[in-house]
Amino acid sequence: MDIKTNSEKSNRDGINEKIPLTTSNIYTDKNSLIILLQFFFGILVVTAVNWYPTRQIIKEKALYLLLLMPLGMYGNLWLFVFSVAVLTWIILKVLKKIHPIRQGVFPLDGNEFKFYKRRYWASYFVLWLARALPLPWVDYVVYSMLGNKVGSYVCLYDSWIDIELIEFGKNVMTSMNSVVMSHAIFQDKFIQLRTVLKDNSIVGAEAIVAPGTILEGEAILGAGCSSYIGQRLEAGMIHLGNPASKMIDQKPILNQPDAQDEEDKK
Amino acid sequence: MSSPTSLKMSHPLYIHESFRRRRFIFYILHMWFSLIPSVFLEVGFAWLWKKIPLIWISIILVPLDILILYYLSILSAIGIMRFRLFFLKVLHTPREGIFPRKITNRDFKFYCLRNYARLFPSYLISSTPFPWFRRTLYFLAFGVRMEKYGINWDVWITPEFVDIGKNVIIGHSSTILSSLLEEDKLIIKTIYIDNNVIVGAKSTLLPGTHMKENSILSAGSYTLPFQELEANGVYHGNPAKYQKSRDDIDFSIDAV
Repeated sequence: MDIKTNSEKSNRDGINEKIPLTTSNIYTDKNSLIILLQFFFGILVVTAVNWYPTRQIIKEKALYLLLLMPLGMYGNLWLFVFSVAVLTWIILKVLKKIHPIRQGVFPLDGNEFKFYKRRYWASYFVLWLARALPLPWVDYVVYSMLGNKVGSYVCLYDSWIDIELIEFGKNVMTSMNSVVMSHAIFQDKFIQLRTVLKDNSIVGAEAIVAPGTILEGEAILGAGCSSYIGQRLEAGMIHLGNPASKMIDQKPILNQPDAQDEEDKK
Repeated sequence: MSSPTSLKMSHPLYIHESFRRRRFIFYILHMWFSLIPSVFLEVGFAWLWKKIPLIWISIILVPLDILILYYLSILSAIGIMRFRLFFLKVLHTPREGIFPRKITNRDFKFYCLRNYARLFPSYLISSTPFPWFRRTLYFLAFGVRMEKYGINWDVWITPEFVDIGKNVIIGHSSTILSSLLEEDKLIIKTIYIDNNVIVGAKSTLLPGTHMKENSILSAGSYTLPFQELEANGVYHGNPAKYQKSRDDIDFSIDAV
């Protein structure tokens, strides 16, 4: 197995690119009160839908209510999440109409960060619901409703993923406890860049994908490794290092003969 | 997606299995008594429901009721926890040092018992979608002081022997451990984080770390036990090593 060093990276020097600083820090401020609105709206929809049928059933036969209880609870959970999701989708549409998302480096006290905070708090509640409640595939639907591209057969385990400006291709996998960011805060600067994970790419466990990173098709970022801001990870390679500087070709690993085949030959 | 479901500002607890089994009744009682105030609230709410003639007013009151119920049960859980901790601290004062990891050891035993007392309120604070008053509640419960603009919520912090200064930024998923179990030993040592420090995402601080003023620990790195990070230094690596002075960082992105 031959290990090459990334030639593209050696041309760049300076500590600013080598150290992957991805500290995000959105504190609780008045923008978070939008959660109250979403929470009230969700409960109101659920109560309004349940009001009439529950009353009718209680009048007719209370036994039916008891039998239908589990189904009703699960259905109400779905209803709650989707009513909140639709409201969030409308709020985000309005916010993006007022101030479209731009990429680049901005001052922290500018409009970009202000609207990022608004979008963050608008999508906080529905993401929490989609992740914490026992509903299948809801988190992928909600995530694409926030304005991200989510390809088919995407598999996102317990990982931190930023709320917007992220593209997932087909068959992408992000492992446990990994971080995929599209924004970062450094001292008085706010950075917002599109992160792209192309088809069949894998982010290893505990890995950090800094904003602006592009994982080409079939690229793998190794477990515990991190990329720097704006890095391009080559296709068909395993990238290692903190920040990612070494590359291992995947072909020798893929071409290794299976143990089963060797047994068959014997 | 934006945060995993398994990690939400809870603190790393270690409770020995024998204590977990023996003191289980206290945990049940803790849950029981912290939910009693909310029962009274519900009775009052049911009475109000009958009194109000208009249906839509009572429907609007439902979400408000859930919110009050949540905060009320947290406050009562914290009250009971502080009551338990007071007795535990009277029986044995918590102290720093290296202790053997045995049930017969008094320091180890009371370390486990303190953690067990903190389990329920910690769960209540950390596992809800409501972000308000968390900092206040966490300070009220565990005495870890936090700046308003400083700390990200998805952080593991040990609830004792942590000293965090002003204007500190802590990235998400980082772990601050003032106690560590190493083979047959329990190490407890205070962690000092001075003013204007940045701790990157996913970094780990082990017991006895002293981050001096203006120092930076980069993302994904960990410190050794009893390590001192110099003032104005940028540290990176596993374990963290001195890289550069903070003043030398020029954050301009040409790669974009």
